[in-house]
Amino acid sequence: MSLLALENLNVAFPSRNGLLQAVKSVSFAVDKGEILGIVGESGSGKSVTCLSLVGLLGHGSQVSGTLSFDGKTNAIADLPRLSHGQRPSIGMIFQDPAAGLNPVRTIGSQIAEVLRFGRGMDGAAARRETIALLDRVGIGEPDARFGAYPHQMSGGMNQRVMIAMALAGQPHLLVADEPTTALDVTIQAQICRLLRQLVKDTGLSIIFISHDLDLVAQLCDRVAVMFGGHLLETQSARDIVAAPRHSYTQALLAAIPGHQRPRTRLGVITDQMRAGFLDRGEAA
Amino acid sequence: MIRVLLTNLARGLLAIVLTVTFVFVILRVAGDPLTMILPLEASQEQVAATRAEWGLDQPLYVQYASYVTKLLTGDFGRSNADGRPALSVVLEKTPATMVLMATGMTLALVLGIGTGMLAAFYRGSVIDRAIMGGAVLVHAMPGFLLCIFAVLLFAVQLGWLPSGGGSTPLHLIMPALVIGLSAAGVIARFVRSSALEVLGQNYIRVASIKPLPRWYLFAFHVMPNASLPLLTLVGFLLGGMIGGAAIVESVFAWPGIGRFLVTAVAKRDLATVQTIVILVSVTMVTANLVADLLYTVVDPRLRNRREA
Amino acid sequence: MSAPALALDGVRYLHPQTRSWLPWAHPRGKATGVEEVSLTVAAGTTLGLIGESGCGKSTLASLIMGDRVPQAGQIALFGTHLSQRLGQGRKALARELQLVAQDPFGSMDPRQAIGPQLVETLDVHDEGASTPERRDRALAMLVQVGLSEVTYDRLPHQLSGGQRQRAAIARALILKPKILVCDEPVSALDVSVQAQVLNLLLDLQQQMALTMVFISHDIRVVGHMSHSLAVMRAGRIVEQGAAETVLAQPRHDYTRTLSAAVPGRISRAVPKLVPQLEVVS
Repeated sequence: MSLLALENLNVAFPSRNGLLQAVKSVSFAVDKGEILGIVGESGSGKSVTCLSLVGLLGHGSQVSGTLSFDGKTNAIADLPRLSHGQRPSIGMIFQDPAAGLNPVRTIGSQIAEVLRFGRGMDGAAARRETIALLDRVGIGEPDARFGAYPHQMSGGMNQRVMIAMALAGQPHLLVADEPTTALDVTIQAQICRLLRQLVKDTGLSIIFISHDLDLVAQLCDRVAVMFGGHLLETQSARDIVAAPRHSYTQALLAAIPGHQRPRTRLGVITDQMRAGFLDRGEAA
Repeated sequence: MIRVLLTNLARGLLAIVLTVTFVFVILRVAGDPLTMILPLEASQEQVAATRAEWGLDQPLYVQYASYVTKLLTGDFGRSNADGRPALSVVLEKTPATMVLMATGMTLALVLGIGTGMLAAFYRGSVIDRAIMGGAVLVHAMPGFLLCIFAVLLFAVQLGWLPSGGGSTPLHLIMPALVIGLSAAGVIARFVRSSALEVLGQNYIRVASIKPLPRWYLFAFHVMPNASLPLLTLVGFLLGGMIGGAAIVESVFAWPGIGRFLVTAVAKRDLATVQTIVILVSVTMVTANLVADLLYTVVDPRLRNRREA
Repeated sequence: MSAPALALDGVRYLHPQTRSWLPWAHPRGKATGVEEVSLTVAAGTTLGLIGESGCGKSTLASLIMGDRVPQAGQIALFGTHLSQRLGQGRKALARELQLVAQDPFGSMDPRQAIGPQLVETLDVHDEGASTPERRDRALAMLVQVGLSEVTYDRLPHQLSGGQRQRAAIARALILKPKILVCDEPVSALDVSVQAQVLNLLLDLQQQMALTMVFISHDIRVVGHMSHSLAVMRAGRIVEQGAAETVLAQPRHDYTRTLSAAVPGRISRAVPKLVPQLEVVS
């Protein structure tokens, strides 16, 4: 039994030119302790898909589809209206860690408030647990750092704080929307190592979104490829790179530098090709 | 940071000096002050004698130099109404204005922040539009018009409040309301846009995933960030209020320095006018300095940065 | 042997630190900038600069472009010192050396159409005998960078990100400079568009015998585009050499760390069962 099963998600936004379909009939499943990667370029619908899982889609959107999580099934459209206790236990971290933290409050307080309101802890217990969480995500001198402000810490550290904040809610699944895109490559590697460690230690499941196919193939167990609001194919990380089934995935691999001989032309994706990706009936 | 403080202080002092000098010159150049001091039938000798007594026969720069020297020793001159030291005369009237300002500002803040937040919360709704419409209306209306409306409505028509004077707390209500209302309008619009800007920030989106109650989110995440820019606005508004005080106090016969200033100018009571101008400039400069200082205290990003 | 296209020797530029108001106190914070930078770029080749944020890449780019004057050391273009070239005027330098930056909007006038902006560049440098000739050259340049002729009349905001970047490249190359500095030229673009722009740069390098300095935080991109690589850290060059060897067989610890952190080990190690471009049904 999977931890999460998304069935037939459709998301549309009203725009000046009528209804804009951002996500079309997307379904996937995630097992306990698994890292699923979602790869796509801008406009592929990957972020919107994940926002729908945590009930963060704006008021104007039209949503349909169901989410089965931990044995309970909900309509996606109902998720924003559920109280926190009734929602699926899913946490989320975002791309720009500094922008995701309130600049005028200490990072400790921003983690502790989750513990106080979500787990009913009192001030002292919340502080202890916050320091433990900061330690768990690899932040040195956690008691000193409790009173630090986001602008006093580096991007990598702030992202660790965001992870700690998400973990404070004891989620069964963590959705990570491009968490390392704004970070240096060595810090990116550290954060990915941390995420893998958390999965190993606690059985946490992760959905990792990125535009970087290499990164996703390296970090994740399975990879799903999205384009134009559709989910084109899902395979194991190894297979998505070794034997991609969809022409878009193949074209993407040909376009990424690093796979070819240096200073040779990279594969291109023309508009003609783009038009053809969706009508081959290859969607898996 | 201390360097910044000193620079601001120096700028403030410069502002005060320039203001006082400007008023000094204008008062003496625009019409002969003597016509107000002496009765019309005064003889030539009386005029000459008074002129010498008040130092008005000296060239302008000499008058200025002697004025400044006297200032530095604490001598602000004498009021020509009753001959008493100008400083004491002015300071007597100051508490009344301070009470009016404080009440007005408090009203403005409470009303302005409250309605601004409401408008942001219910953005796009009838409430939002009503509040914003009201804010613009109140701000666009000339101060004295608002005063007259208030008097006509509450004093004449309804008879609830006294129309003038300053003896009881009841007398405070209308002038404070009028002064506060206009500022409230500006604050409401400002707070609304500031709150909306904060609501669009990523960290609010992140915070909304947390199991926080709505009121907590607003009080501890939205408000602190939305209110920060308000600090500088308040310093700025205070200046406007002081300016408006002259009109409000005159209409409501509130015994403060605003009203006093108006009569002093009419009477060409040079020493008093200059003293009031100094007082007002010092107050405004201090208010803005304090606002800037508070900003660095309240916003953690502006405090000394420590390497993490 | 002819002089290298670009040669830096012991270049130093440190940004002024914030000084405490107490005259005897130490300045706060670390000094940033570049120090002891020595590099050579052979004509017609690409030097890639790799490093993480704060390593001094951008400072180095501004030094090469002549926007900043080195506090120590020399920069030479084809044997002539940069300071000498600058002495002859910025316009003279602009014919040798151009920049393509990350944000194409930043280098283009948002209220003027693309074509006229190209013509204006030619105007300023008195290139071309007449206005029709300049127009023709502008059109030819647009076609050379892969844009259609209708782009001539378009405003920057009417183009896509990739098209805008091509337009920026067109403007940089219309004077036929010998050296092109690319500072994060593809960072804001999607993978597929990125590939097109990189291909364009490679083509143009061949066609125009361009020497390039390529800066990017994405090591895979830099590695793909460069003949030689220099690794920067804290304002210094820690390792440099041929592109193939620096990343594959790093000698310095830092390069090793960087190289190990670059994602794609799995993708690169796994043999591809499917040929790159053809569609297999």
